[in-house]
Amino acid sequence: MHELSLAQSILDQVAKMAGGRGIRVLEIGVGELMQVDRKAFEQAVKVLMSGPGFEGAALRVRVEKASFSCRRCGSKWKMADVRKQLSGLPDSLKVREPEDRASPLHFLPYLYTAFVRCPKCGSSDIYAGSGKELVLRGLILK
Amino acid sequence: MSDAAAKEGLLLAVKKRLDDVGKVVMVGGGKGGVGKSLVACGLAISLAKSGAKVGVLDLDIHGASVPEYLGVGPPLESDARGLKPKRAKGLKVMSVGLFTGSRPVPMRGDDKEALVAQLFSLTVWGRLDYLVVDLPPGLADEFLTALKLFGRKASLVLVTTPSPIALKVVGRLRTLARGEGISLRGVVLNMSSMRALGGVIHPLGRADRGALESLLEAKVLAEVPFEPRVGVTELRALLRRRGEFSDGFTSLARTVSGTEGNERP
Ligand SMILES: [Zn+2]
Repeated sequence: MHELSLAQSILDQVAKMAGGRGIRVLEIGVGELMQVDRKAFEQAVKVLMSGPGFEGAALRVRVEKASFSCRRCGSKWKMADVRKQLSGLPDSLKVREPEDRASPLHFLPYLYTAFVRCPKCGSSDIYAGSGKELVLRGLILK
Repeated sequence: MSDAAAKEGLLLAVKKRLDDVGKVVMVGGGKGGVGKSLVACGLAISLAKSGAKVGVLDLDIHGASVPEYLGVGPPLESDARGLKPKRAKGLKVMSVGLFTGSRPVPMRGDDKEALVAQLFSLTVWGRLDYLVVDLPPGLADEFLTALKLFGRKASLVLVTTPSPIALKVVGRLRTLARGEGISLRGVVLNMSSMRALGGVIHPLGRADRGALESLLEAKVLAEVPFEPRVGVTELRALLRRRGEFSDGFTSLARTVSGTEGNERP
């Protein structure tokens, strides 16, 4: 639900890099771990792109898969396992949004070690190799 | 963090949010258990008393105690602009503890910088006169991260007890801070004394103020006596009572805000 603020932060970065030039293509990667609603995020970016500099710009938003590995036993897993674990999160730790409740990782994806464990050995000494960040993947200027 | 572009985006978001903050006061202690979080929270309460807009950012990721001192807890709320800080009678508070409750937070260094940047920049602080940052013990990543993120607006308050071990550790922090070019406000001598058996005792040793100041090359901003009711009675209530404990914080807040002798009723 803070898609708007995420969109704003990416567009601030774009504006800084463009330095006044127009934008032709804008590519954004959204880490799966952030559990961002892709459509809502895309919509938010489009709303903010209605300003000057973005006329005729093409927008591509891609959700980037998250992958996890255990430092203890070496096993690897994907977001589906993490979703399962997060579904057991007590309501008291979910962030109240105007129309929903969100996992803390929606805001602080880097906090995953507090909420995710190795599905095989139960260790918290785990590592997310990808899919945890919001990132500007491509920018083509006019 | 793995990705340079993502990192740059976060730093930019931090910079933007920081534009609305007057001064950043980082409270660090080097050694654990010296009462750094207590001093950070007491300072924030005392600064707010004079009408200043004050935020508290708890960077003690593994042992967040700011929420306890200020009487706030999960759940958090958010809106389209970001996370709403918890309100504690005029203070705005953000802490990892507000996401994790009593869960442990195992975390390795590489993700901490991004976490800290996100925690600060996603919070809708609004305009602040002061952001008080409670640093983690030691010279961990969060300390260097905080210097990097807030350095341009930040000054450092060091907390120590009179114990020789604590002094040694705080001395190292002082050296590190100097190397990083951060301005040092001074030192708070916590648990400097205690009332017992009808007199005053110094359970952790008696620190000679002058010797301490020349050792750390910094001014002692305040001495705070050991207050046994901390953790039992609300901190705010303790600071309302007259006495050496609240006096310590009042004088600390005055030096930090540069309003010596400008007391409000
Ligand atoms: Zn494992």
